[in-house]
Amino acid sequence: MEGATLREVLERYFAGNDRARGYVLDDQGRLRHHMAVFIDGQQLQDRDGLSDAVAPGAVIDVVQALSGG
Amino acid sequence: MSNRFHVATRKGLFTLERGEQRRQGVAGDSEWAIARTSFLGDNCTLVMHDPRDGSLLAALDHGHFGVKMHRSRDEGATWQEVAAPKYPDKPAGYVPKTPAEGRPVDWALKLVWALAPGGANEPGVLWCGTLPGGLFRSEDGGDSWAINRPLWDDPRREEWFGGGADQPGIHSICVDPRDAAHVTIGVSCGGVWTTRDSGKRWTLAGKGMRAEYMPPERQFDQNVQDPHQLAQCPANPDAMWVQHHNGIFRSTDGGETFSEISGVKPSAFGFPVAVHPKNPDVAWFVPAIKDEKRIPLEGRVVVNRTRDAGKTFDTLTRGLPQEHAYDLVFRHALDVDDTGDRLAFGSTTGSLWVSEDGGDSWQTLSSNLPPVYAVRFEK
Repeated sequence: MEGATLREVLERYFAGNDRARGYVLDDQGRLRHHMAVFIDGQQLQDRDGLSDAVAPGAVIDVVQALSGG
Repeated sequence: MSNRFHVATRKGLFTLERGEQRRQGVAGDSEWAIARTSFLGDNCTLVMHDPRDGSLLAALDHGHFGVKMHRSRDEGATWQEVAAPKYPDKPAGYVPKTPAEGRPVDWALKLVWALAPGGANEPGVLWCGTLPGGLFRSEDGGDSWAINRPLWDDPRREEWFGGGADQPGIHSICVDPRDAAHVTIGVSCGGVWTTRDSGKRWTLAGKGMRAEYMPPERQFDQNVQDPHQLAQCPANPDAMWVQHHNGIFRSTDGGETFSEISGVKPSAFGFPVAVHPKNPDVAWFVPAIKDEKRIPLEGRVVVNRTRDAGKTFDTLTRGLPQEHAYDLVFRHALDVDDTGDRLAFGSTTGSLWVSEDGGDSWQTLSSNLPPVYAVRFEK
């Protein structure tokens, strides 16, 4: 997926899989409370704006955060 | 008479059915049994049966993935994920705040707290109440939802505040069987609101309700009331009952004004209310100790029934646990069928009871379910 920021990369992905959007982002476009994103192993800084930079070839992990209940 | 009801719980949706024949074997064995389990392990917060087409709608609240909606058109055999309500985008730079403390509050879907079919003459129309404070309408059976802007944009909506939850929410939606454009909703905490044109204009109704948690000069302020549940008699829609945070209230004018029912024993506190489908003077409640404790009085689970519009109450105990029982019953977890004879309710500690005689006696269907959020008969 191409994109200079996490938002751009995710939008490209969701364009082909719109249902996934609501599982990763809330209805205001922010990362869900119990989701976590790592870019080349570094945890996402901007959970609301998703403006963290993504270098060419970077690996993005979208995972369930540790939680209970 | 309904032979099927659905139970939404913290760990899935259970469908109970009543067999035609008493099962062979143990005398007194229940005729009711769990016939189907859906979404096992998932947090199912609410379920709705649509009497117009038999479809089911279930709301799930996944810890990681948020609120999702699923619909079944084959009595729960298979489910399809459909759209969840989506709030309008928050205006850039706008920070909504709690009315009392001025703390910033979130603006995004937290919980589906009410689901109701539209009128018999408007197939596909559904209403959905949410937390925080949203009312949504679907015209395609839940394939898409639109927020009701007139209510969302009403400045009085921002004065609503949370009761038990941190944010306010819409938990009761009553569609007038005589006129589907006439809809009355209950808000915790934001009182009772009504529209007569399908939501284009709203009136803050509910005069006469009293909020003892407010300073004296604001106790009758309509917009601060905490109706825990609002229920309408289908045969006489002007008759409405409210189980309120600090009392029981009754209306005979479609929710415009309410009168407080005083002297209710063992307690006027509770969450659910069910109204007889044909007799507006008959209603059922499940009392508890208010409001910091929220357990049954003296460890006894009881149902309070009035048959004379609240003048007197029968405290019904037959078949219900009467010692060391700490079951709390949430607002959607009591229901009555379309005859008024069958009732069912479930508790936070996973008990489920049914009555076939208007509440005179009860049988335990389970003591081991997950925490029960909602019980809904098919009607």
